[in-house]
Amino acid sequence: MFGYPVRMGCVLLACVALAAIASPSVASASWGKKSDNGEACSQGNGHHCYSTAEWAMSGSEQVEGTLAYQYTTAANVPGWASNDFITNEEWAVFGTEWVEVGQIAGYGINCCSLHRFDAWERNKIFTMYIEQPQTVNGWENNLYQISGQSHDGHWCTYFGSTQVACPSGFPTWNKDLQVGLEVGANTKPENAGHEQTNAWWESTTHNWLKEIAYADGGLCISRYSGPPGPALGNINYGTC
Amino acid sequence: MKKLLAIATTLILGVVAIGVWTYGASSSSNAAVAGTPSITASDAQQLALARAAAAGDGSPTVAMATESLGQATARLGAPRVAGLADPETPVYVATMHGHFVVDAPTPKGAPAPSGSVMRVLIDQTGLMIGLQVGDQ
Repeated sequence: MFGYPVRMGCVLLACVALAAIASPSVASASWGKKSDNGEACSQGNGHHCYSTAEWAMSGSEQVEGTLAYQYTTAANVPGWASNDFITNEEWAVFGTEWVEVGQIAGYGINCCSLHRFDAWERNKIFTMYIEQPQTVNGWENNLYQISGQSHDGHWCTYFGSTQVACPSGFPTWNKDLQVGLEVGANTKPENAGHEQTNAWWESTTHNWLKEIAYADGGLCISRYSGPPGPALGNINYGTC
Repeated sequence: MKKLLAIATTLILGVVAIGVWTYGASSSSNAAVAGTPSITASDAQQLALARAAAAGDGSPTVAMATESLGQATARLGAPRVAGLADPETPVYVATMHGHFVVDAPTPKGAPAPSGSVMRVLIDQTGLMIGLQVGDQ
């Protein structure tokens, strides 16, 4: 499934030209209809669907970073030429702003290969980078991190232990972590995998202290209980 | 009916021809990354405009520039320290003005990113490696 020959460059001009033709004039991302709830992603046009765990912190709870190992076992995005995508990723959310990092499939590239990406929105400006033509493998743990350990408003993204970008202007601490699967697709894709996450504070990694699990129709979520054992925030995710 | 068939055949052959041409170009991507573009600025502009069309604006104004990856990502507000090509690698930067709503990864509940300026970074082989939208 993985290792699709990305150098095909998605037969580039043809793909993007097709994407332009096939894409609707506004962002859209759901398959099925609202009445399909339970069977399909049902958030309606213009919305994405999620299978996620969230730690919405309260009181004195706050973190200075997050890490997650994404282990993708299936990824197939039939609508990739129309920019449909799936991501397995983590978010550090600051109200209406955020930083995110993980791996993406589809999005005008091809059906099935996994690419590292990171993105953030601050001050109503959204910025995203996708690593191409490089791919990452499925069926193995791929580490991604977001760190605000400088405590000066920079929240840096990491592929593994390599820092790739450091957008600034965010709060010095984070109080909302999310991890899991996001789907933006008009044709139902296939995705399966699990992730293991930890939060950073006092320069040390810790298990989450709370968790809210969420899954839209057509997506599934369950506790990942592989080694080193079940913990809050560690989930299996996928289309179902 | 025959006329429609002829038009459809022409369109399909055109797309296949572009694909074959692009495949041939990207197959020498190693040389391209060293500084010899596999695609022209005009090709890159077409790619950027296609992205813009997918974002809801079919006729934006567009300005093309060639910059180093380091310069381009600095312009986007956060210099790339790693994870893409060498910072000295030349990339195409398409800056478009219009009204854009992009379909991109966001956290649950966040609206689709939007704005009047859209920048697309395209490497020398024609791959989109960066995207920015906002009112900056």
